[in-house]
Amino acid sequence: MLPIGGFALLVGACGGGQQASVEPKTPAAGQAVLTGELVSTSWPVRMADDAQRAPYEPPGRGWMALVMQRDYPQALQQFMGENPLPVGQQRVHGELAIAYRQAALLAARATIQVYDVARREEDPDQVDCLVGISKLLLADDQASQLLDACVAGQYGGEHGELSLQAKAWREWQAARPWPPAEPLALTPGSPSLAEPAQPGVLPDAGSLPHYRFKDKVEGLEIQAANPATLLGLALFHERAALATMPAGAGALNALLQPWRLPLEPGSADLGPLEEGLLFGSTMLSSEDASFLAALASDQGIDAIAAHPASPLAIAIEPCVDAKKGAVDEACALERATRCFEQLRGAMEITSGGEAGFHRPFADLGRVGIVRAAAAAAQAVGDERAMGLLRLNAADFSTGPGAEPHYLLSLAAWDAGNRNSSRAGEFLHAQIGHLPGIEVARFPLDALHVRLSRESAPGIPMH
Amino acid sequence: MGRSRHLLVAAGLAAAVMSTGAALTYYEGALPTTLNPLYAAKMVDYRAQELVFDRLWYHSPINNELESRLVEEWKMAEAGKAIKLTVKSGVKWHDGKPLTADDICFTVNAILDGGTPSPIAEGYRDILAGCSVDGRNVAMVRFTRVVHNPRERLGFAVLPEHSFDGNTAISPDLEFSARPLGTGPMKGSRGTRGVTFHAYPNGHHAAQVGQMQLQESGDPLLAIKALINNSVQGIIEVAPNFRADVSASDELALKSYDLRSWWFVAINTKKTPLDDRRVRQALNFMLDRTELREKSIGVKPGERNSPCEFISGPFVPSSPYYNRAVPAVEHSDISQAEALLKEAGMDQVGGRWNFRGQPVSFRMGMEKSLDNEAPDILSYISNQFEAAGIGSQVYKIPPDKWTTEAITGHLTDYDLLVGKWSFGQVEDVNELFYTRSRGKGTRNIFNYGNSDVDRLLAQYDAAKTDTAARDAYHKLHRKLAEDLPYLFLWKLDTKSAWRTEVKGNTIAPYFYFTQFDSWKYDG
Repeated sequence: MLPIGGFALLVGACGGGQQASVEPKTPAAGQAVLTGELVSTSWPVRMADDAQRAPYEPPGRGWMALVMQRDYPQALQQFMGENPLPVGQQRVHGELAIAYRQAALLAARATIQVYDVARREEDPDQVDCLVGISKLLLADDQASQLLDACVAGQYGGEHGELSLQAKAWREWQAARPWPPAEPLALTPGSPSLAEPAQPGVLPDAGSLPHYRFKDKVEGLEIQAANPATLLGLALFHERAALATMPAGAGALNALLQPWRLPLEPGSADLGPLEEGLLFGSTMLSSEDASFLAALASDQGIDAIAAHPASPLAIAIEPCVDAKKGAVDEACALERATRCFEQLRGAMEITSGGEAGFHRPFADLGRVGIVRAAAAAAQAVGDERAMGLLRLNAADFSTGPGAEPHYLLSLAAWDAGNRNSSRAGEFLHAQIGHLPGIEVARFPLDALHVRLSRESAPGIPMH
Repeated sequence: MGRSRHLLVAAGLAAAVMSTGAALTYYEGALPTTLNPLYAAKMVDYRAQELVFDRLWYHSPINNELESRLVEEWKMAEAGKAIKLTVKSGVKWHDGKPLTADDICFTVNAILDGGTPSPIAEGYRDILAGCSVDGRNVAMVRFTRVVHNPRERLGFAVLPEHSFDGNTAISPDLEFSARPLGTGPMKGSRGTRGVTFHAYPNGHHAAQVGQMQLQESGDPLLAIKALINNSVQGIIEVAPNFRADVSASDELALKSYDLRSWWFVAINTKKTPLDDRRVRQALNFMLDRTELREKSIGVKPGERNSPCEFISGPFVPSSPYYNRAVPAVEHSDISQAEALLKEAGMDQVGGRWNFRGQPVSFRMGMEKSLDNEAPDILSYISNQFEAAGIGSQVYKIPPDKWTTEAITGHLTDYDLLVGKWSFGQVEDVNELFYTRSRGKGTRNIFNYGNSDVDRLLAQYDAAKTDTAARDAYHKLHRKLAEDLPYLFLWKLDTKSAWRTEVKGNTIAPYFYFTQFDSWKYDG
């Protein structure tokens, strides 16, 4: 007898609304985005079969918390429970490893925007250290010069041995061993790489703020935190994910590859994703993970042709003009919607009728295509299409689509564009859920205050 | 009546009262008060004006880059105290006359003219010093001091000199406010039942939507059904209660609209017994915000990523100005409220609070259109006060009256007013809380005055550093949470809904229609 649980009981939740559901529209012949085989082997359609979905149904097993609520702490707690589920643990720790990387990117970009691009006379000299570390995370050549200035500044003691950290990063640059154990050992709040990462643990970023500087005009306190701490947290979760399933290193690499920091080396050891890493994700098949990893690598846009079995690659291929370096965002959005309709139609056939989980599952496929198209636009250098597609992906990122790591990646993009308001909203939504993520708030808040004070005047409107 | 039945009835009504047409039609909670950018008082004003006018510089809603549709090139001058602009050629006003440097300088001079009683202009007077024309297409805009990022400061909409016969003292009630001339993508005309926009092809704009109608939405349920029935194609603000209905439809798309909005109940601190801080604090404890939010906005207890988050001061919680050390009151605490009222000299008779022998009862108002976003919020607040022994009479205030009387501090016969303030990048709240005098406190609803608050606002104004500004606002937050000229309620995210036939509809933070040239309607 099949367990009766979470997904089967969904009635129009998360986008299903409170009104009667609408009949799914199946695209007409010739309008189909994916072949019938690719549709039927995608996880949403396979999971429309009660028997296939059964392992994910038991209440309190972790999957509802992970997929429907995107609640990592609760999901992890349930995956660690009486009947531990290693793949679930790996999934949560893996996604946390991505989320903290995006938070590190956000913190680094905000730090650079406020203390480098918009540097003001009031800023204390110690911010050179944070800008240097931020540029290092972004693999910016200017990092060395700033780190040298930090070393020369001899900032120690109450400033968390900033100069020692800078020195350690400079020494690390000589051989670039990965992970950067020595500099992270000196980074406040960064979990030790010398000790095993315990699955099920959610470390924080230590005592915040990490630094209390004085501004150079009035001597007022400026609070700051170290962006590299977030890299340390990301590496902790990566190691914890690996500890849960040592044989799953290739799959973990495939998950992480598109999200690694510019500083990081890529990995050639990419493996297929097992069902538990795919279920409830925005990838439709394991081939999609391989495609997205390749798209983010040196292979770039050629990854589309190299992945003829990836539903995401097939979905976006007609919308990409690699020679012109352009992506047609309207085409990608249209095909994402048609694919959504295909998935829903196929799920209904598989289930023998409509079910509440069909729409949210199909929605994940739609947002996956929009996100893949944005990644393709980035790969070909079409900044405008990339931006438009990211904005559309953000609009689709509700309910199960609101993956914290993706929203944090949008925040990181916004911070680099000096859009501190929206970045702040995305980040704020994760505070309280992801321990230590507040590290990114310090530079982002500083950036927001600076930008708002240098904007055209505004008055409250109703 | 069950909800589905309710929806069916609403659908029938909507179909009966709405008319369809080739033009794209969208709903706002209220009609704009004015299309003159100097006198925008509501977000709907700003949004409509964004279709008709061009701001000198604006941020791209896609990548946030600072761009201009009116300026060909620019360079700094006069040791950083001026910026020299070359106006783009081929830009026309909606009457066909060309935009020139004279128009730029006319706008700057109108802003600086003391005879232009515009709060928006007032904000610019601290920064702008003047403007001079150098030939037909070159303008030199001067600042009062060397400023960082001067182009960021020039976000005002440009006005046509010839519409005002060169008179820089611009009044709010001119014909221009209803039928303005702009350089934006659409020519606009405000009537009593809405605003009509027609595309105006221009050298710098090519709107792909030929006609558009702005209409007032009224009942939110009817509005949603009109959208589902394709009687209208967009709703700017969809109440959280109805967002699931939008998401459930394949023909509709929910779109994020980045706006920093927070809700409040303003208290008339000039009236007895509300002039006693203990009474205001008691009211603060009487409100069960959790229940209010659940009933009016539909947020379930413990809901993750709620669109509505409680606040304890005049900023949204994600803002660096928000003092996170000041807790929000989430649940009522009637025993605390009772203790405070007794301290303030009140006594309870038959469950009703009396002050100086008279039962306490408040006159409460709310701008009518807020009911669209938080249905029945006024009644729920009133019910909570009633349950705690405070009487009340509730009134919904027409939007125009709110603009002309509430904001200007003339609705002093009210005790409490429920409202919402919205902000963009700048979260300057000084106009809300400064004591009204000498051009300050222009949005101080009940003419609240507190010397400590004024001092903190002055500290913010005078701050030399970012840290000083933030510190001043953190202290202000704490002070206002104690003194309570407002009962702070919550921040509420804004979402729009558009039919999927409307494509390319990128929504700009705050200003909304900045990228309107890319909008298409396949209806």
